[in-house]
Amino acid sequence: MIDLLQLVFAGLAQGAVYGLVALGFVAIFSVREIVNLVQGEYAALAGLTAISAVGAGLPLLVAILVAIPITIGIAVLLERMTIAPVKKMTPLTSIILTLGVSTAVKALMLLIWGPEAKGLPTFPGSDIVLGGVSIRSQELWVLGVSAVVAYGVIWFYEHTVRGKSLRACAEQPVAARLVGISPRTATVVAFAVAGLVGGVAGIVGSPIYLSSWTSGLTLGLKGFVAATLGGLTSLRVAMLGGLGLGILENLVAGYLSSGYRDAVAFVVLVLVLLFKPHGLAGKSSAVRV
Amino acid sequence: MTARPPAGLTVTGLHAAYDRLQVLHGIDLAVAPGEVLALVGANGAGKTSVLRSVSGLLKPAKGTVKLGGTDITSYGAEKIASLGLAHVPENRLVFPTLTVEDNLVLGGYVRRKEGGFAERRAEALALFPRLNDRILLAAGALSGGEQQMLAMARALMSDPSVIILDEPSLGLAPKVVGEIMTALGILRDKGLAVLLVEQNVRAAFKVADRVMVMDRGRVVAEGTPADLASDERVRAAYLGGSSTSSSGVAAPVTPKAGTAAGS
Repeated sequence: MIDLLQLVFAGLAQGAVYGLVALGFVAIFSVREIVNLVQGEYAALAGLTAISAVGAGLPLLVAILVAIPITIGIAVLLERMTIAPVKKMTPLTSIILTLGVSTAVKALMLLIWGPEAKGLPTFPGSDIVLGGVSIRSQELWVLGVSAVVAYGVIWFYEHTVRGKSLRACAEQPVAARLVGISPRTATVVAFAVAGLVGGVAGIVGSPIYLSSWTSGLTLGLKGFVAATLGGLTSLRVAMLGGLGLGILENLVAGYLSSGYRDAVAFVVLVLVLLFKPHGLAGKSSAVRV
Repeated sequence: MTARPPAGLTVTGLHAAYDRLQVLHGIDLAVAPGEVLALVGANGAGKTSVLRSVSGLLKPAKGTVKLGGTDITSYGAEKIASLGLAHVPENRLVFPTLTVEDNLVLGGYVRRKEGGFAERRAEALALFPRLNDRILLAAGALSGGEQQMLAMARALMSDPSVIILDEPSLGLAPKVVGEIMTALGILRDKGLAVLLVEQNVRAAFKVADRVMVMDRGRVVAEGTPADLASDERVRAAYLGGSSTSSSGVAAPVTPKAGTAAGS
């Protein structure tokens, strides 16, 4: 029983990181029907940038406060350079396009930071044991920060005029323009949100799961699978999907073999596409956030 | 709705095309503040293209569009909306999963930093009181008539001086069409310039001060509803059948419809 709880808790923390990345997919897809495969790279980029900033002598908090805006800036810049110029964007075009961009970003990260994985220092705090389950303080940081950020993003989309304007853009692009909502601005805001959640995921997870030029690939895949659970349009389901996926992975790794860990996401993806493909294949004219 | 200084709409020599297909061949029209101009004509005559060119959804190939004294020909739709021209599009295009309230909030998007939201909301809802009972429903759950009212109320939230409407009566019951047209009359009396595209000729003639008849991208007849209704040639060629096709309301133009416009 202790083992089970231990696995579930570790899975929750890992899943929260997946959930944040998943939020990034939804933040963009629910506005523009773009599948943004650069999403995982934001996490790797933020983690590596923060590690370099700490290496340069900056305090951890300052390093984080530097790395997140840089990640958001890069997310928006890449959108301006690669997404904005495309006249007729379809989900398929966006997949091919962003796959290319993500490959280029990975190559750049390899050039800048080299091949080996590094971790940020653990955030302040001490590990605790609760009912026999030992909990690392960093896992509590992951859960706490993820909860705050996820709540903030959902609140932004559901309760602010700006957030509602993004949803309006997705539902009726023509009518959105007629009330003065610029699809260009909406896209930029969506990518900024995606950069934020990706960056937070990469930084808060870095002390446990490490950052490297390839870490975005795994995170991106897991986040994408979680996002498909909600048809790429539901922020809540994406976050919960991330948590569920993290738990499931840890249970499989703990009770079967850790070799199966990464297969879990693929199995889930195949099952979703077989039995609930509408979020991906169909037009998401009814956008739920 | 009355805070904005009155401004009319002036269109001169408007040409427009979709790719190579030219749809407008030199349209001239002007709508003054406190006036309803109705554009009528068969499907494909170019009425919708006029509206799309005016509101910036379609870039005119030639000609100018002026809002008050401002040349808006080259502006995008978002900018034009912020300058006080509201376009109520064909098929309403409400935001279906957002509530009626949120649709109104977004209608005021271009004025979101200016204040006065509560007043504009109250004024828009006063025009369509039945939206009050639906305020927290998803807009997609409303009836067609209610969606039309919401689309108009949403447009009014931007405090426009010019409102242009694309077939607001499409698919609606005669009683609802009456309510919509009454609302347009009220807006006219408040000093808005109203440009109305309508296939329901009888309804359009009741509210319009002037009517233009379009055919294949050109204006082919123009005058007061009474003038056009009594012009046998125009009636026979353009007005007789077109009104019945869209609304299901049998509406041959009669002298009665003309005199009822009363202006």
